[in-house]
Amino acid sequence: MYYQPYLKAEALEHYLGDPHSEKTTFSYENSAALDIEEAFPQEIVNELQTWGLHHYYVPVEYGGNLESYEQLLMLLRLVARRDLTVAIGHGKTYLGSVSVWVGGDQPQKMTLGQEIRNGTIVSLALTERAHGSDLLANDFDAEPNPEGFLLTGEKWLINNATRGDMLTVFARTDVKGGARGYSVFLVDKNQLGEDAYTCLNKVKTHGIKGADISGIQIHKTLIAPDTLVGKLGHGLDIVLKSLQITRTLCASLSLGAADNALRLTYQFAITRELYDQKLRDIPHTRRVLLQSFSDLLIAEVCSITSSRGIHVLTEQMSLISAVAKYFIPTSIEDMISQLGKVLGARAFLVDLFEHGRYQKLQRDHRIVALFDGNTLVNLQAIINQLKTLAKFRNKARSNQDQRLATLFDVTAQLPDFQSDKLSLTTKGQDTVLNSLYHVDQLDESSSNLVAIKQYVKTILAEIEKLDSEVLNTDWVINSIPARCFTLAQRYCLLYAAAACIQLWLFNQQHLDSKPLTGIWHDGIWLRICLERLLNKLKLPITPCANAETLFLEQLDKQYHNNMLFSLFPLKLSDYTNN
Amino acid sequence: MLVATQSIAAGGKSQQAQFEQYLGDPNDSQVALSYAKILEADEAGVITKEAEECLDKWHLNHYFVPQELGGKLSRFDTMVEVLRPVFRRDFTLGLGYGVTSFIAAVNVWLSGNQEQKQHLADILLNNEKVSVVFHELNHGNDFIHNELKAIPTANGFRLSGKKQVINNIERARAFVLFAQTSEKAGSRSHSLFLIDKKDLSPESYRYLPRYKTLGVKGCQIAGIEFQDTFANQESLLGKAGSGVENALKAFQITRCILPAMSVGVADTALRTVLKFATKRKLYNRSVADIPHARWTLVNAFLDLLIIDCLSGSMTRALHVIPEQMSVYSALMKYFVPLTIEQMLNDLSIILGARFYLREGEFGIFQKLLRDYPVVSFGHAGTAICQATIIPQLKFLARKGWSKPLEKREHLREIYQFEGNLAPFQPEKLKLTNNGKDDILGSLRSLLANASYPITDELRSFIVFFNSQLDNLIEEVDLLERNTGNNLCEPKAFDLVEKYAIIFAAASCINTYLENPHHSEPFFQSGKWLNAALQRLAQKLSPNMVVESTELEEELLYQMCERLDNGYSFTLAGSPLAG
Ligand SMILES: Cc1cc2nc3c(=O)[nH]c(=O)nc-3n(C[C@H](O)[C@H](O)[C@H](O)COP(=O)(O)OP(=O)(O)OC[C@H]3O[C@@H](n4cnc5c(N)ncnc54)[C@H](O)[C@@H]3O)c2cc1C
Ligand SMILES: Cc1cc2nc3c(=O)[nH]c(=O)nc-3n(C[C@H](O)[C@H](O)[C@H](O)COP(=O)(O)OP(=O)(O)OC[C@H]3O[C@@H](n4cnc5c(N)ncnc54)[C@H](O)[C@@H]3O)c2cc1C
Repeated sequence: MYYQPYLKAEALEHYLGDPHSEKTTFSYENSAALDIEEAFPQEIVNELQTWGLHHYYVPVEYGGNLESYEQLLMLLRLVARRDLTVAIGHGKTYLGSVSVWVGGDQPQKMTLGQEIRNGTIVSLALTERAHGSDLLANDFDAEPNPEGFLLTGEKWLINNATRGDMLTVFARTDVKGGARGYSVFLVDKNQLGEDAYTCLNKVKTHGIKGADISGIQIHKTLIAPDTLVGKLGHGLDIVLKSLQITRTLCASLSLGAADNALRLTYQFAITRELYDQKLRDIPHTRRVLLQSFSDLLIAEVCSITSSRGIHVLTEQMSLISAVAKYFIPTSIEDMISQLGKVLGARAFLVDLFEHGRYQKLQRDHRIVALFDGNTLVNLQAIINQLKTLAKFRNKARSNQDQRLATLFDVTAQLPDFQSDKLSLTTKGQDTVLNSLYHVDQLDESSSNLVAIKQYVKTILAEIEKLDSEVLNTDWVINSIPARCFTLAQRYCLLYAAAACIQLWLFNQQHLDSKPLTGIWHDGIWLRICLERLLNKLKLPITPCANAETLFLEQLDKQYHNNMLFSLFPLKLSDYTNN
Repeated sequence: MLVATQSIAAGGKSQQAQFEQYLGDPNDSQVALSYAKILEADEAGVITKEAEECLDKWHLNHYFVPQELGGKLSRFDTMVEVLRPVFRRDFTLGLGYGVTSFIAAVNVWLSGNQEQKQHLADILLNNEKVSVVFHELNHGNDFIHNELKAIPTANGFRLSGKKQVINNIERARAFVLFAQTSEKAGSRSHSLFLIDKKDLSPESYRYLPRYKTLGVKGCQIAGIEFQDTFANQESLLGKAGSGVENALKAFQITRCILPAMSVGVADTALRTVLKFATKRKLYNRSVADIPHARWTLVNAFLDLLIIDCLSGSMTRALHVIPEQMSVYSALMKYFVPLTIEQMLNDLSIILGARFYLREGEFGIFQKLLRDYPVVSFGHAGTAICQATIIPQLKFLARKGWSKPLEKREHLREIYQFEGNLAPFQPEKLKLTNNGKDDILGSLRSLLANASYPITDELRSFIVFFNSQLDNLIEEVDLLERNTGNNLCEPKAFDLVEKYAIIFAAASCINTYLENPHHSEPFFQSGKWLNAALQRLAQKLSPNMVVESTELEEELLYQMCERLDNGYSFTLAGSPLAG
């Protein structure tokens, strides 16, 4: 099957070269060495610049190549599968600029577009030492005065704060604070006086050790009025909307890490002999591999859905991004840790097996769930909307969202992204989950499809149960009981199941690609992925050994053919390990 | 070993308290075992001389040597209590300084002759180290395929081959070696040796380079290669060909001891995060006041109490029912590390960005997270422990789980904190339980026994866990029928998980009931027990959710009191230094 975003992604992959080769700059070996030295991967970043990855951080209207967020996600995924430090260190420029794309005026956007294309590094300076997620407690000030704004304060744990040139700063413009008390500024360090700011030391981190995680203090410095992004007092709104996009894109980091971990473990499992058999063939290991491959594919489905959602369901992104940012990093974190158990000592040794790739990716990946809105903040964003979603469910039964095909059929052209459609709540709409009320196309022509149809019923019943639990539970926003977090987690699993079902339904007819027909045909991957999700929901399943075998054969095939672990074909530059 | 005929009195608590005082407040950067110095040593990849001298002065090694050989080891529970202060501060030191020597020594205490035992005792009492030389990179847990050979010659053995990933190999005075002594493959092909390096010709062996590791960075982990190295006849431990059997028996001790000691790590993790949560202000209150964070903290406390019940009882069970330890030690090694790993993960979420930093007030946490996996995969990983139990399930189901235990007197010995204990009788260790399981048998007979003050709430839990045990028996039976005796299905691993949970519940109940005279009010109130059982019940049946914020409040209060007043989070609530 032809999957458009993989064309560019494959070109990037091809350009970067075989990560196992000594001749390659962006190799596992170099990444490992840089990690040990805790050095910034400058040479690798230069390569990405030469290829022009940064052009994808700038929307086409402002001179860049960013047309499709699905495309950007897939490009970052391939960078991340080699080294998360690089993906995060480089991708941060998008994080730094997004507030301007969402909230800025035309001249600001044109200027920033030009800057980024010229290689300027942009950071997001949001977090403060004492306040973390509590943005409304921030006390970095931008005091309005006749000549502009007087900046004073500290931002800490800021990626590229020291190395970067520009920063988007979230600052208090009204001493009283509050939802309209903050604004966003685009600050160019080079235009501040030398004494105007101090960069704080690089912090020693657990993972992404080479990244420049530091901070900045600004000492009573005047900045010009035109550095204000959007309206005065609209900072919170702009930042929260911008995060809807970046939280969605974080999925690329998890997908990359997941491929890396599974590839490595599979390599070990097919070469390791224990008790006169291959490790892969020990039933327990087989199960871990099966679960991991399905976790990866489920994460991929959610990533595709959410990144296409930026274009198609823009007004629902408050929900979609929170689901993606909670669900994908945490499920991949679990997957990675299960795979580590298969690797045994090799998960722990830094310089023995494949340059200690596992221990690095495992450490690196732990940042994904943490930054850009941590797991709990995202779950809370879902919880806040659960009641409205439940109330609107009935309406959704009768009305089918006409945009389903554009969302799920990956060959459909995506509409242009319109940032003004972003909204702080989804107003009870959830096209993805509610689409399950409209799956009449699902026939029962094979035992797999019969099983799938049964699972759909189970899921629908569970939605109903969840909704009624939600409606029967009372909570106040600033003291949400722990139980509600479980409700939100279940919501995400159901949502993921719906996405899998629709993605399969809308794309199975494009079955023209030989290498993947094995798992698309007859809903094999769908069945396995649904079973995985239902299992996590503790709902009954009826696994089928034959489907599992076919599924694992696909894993094997993708591994041996150096394909990305994916529902769509993408050829990697790795040499064959077998 | 420990051949004394009378019973031995407990004394662990006072010795632990003295040791705590001796080691001093870990938050005081001046003391040898301060978190500051520990982190610094970790960054440098060393164990400091200062730290080791501190333990040498206390003669910690004496606790690894049985009393009759001049040491202080008479009860395993005491030994664990004494060692916990070290693990509370630095897992690396605990492993690198001492426990590695103990793991080696146990083989000698079990299988050595009098001279060998005395020789090893003298080495340890002299503060020297002993290595365990088992592991070959190519074979891992597959002992029977280990290749290093000890070929019998006229007056001894000729060693050739390599062992890798061996702690302290270079600085150890002696080592216990696992080597192939017979060409005939099978379970009698290998033997154990105790070798003093003084008896080896220095030219005949060499050390392999040290490995860098993700955690326990200070441990000196390297390898050794023998080239026709001559080892004398006296170095053989036990009979030729008894290596596998004897090693498996020794494991039964260490698989109880190591997880039990590692509860100290959990204590520090919880302390660190609780400190953060009470200090950190978000949304105008402390993080500990956020219901989700509070719930996570309280659950961590409950988990800690649960595994502490297991640790105390299992280290005493080694003395009381040694013939049942093949299963119990595997349950311990499976359940405790898994619980602590999960706890560390959950706690890391509360710590947020602070968990990702290798510096600052909470920097110790990431070290715990990196060090801890050694407990779970080293020395037989989770899956392998499950695999040890699986073939025994059907016998357990038919015998131990089906028959109510009539005589309970010996249970008192297993569960009482302060009671006397029978001396350990190593010759009673068996490779299988033969279907015996007194602990779950005791769950069967509890309600029939009128002498226990069982509240209604406790009664309903006992009924619940008994019915879960009924289910488990059925499931084992079903699996046996479906898979024709071959229980090595992935499903069987799930059954072990259930078994472990029921087992943990029984251990908590017995611990409570058998200590009616324990005066500590928190322990006596039994509220912790109901909460702990609730937590375990939920793992088996997600519908068992009952929320009591009141109880949660009380437990959190208890935790904060212990934090403020310097007591451990374990059942005993032992006084801590600082
Ligand atoms: C390597 C790294 C790079 C970073 N890069 C950047 C960057 O480039 N720019 C930038 O601005 N920031 C950056 N950050 C900061 C990061 O985004 C913050 O760490 C994050 O927003 C969370 O804040 P916190 O970790 O201080 O946790 P806190 O907000 O202090 O939260 C602590 C705990 O409180 C609880 N909690 C908080 N909120 C809720 C809630 N709503 N519901 C329930 N429980 C809750 C949770 O248990 C949570 O873990 C970076 C951090 C790291 C570690
Ligand atoms: C820090 C550190 C210190 C160490 N110190 C020492 C030391 O001092 N002396 C020493 O001898 N060794 C030492 N070791 C080695 C350690 O004991 C081994 O790592 C351990 O035995 C596991 O071996 P392996 O990693 O090769 O795993 P493998 O045997 O290759 O197993 C890999 C995976 O296969 C699966 N598996 C294996 N068997 C089964 C089964 N029966 N059923 C289901 N699944 C199975 C599991 O998922 C397992 O994790 C140390 C290791 C480390 C990391």
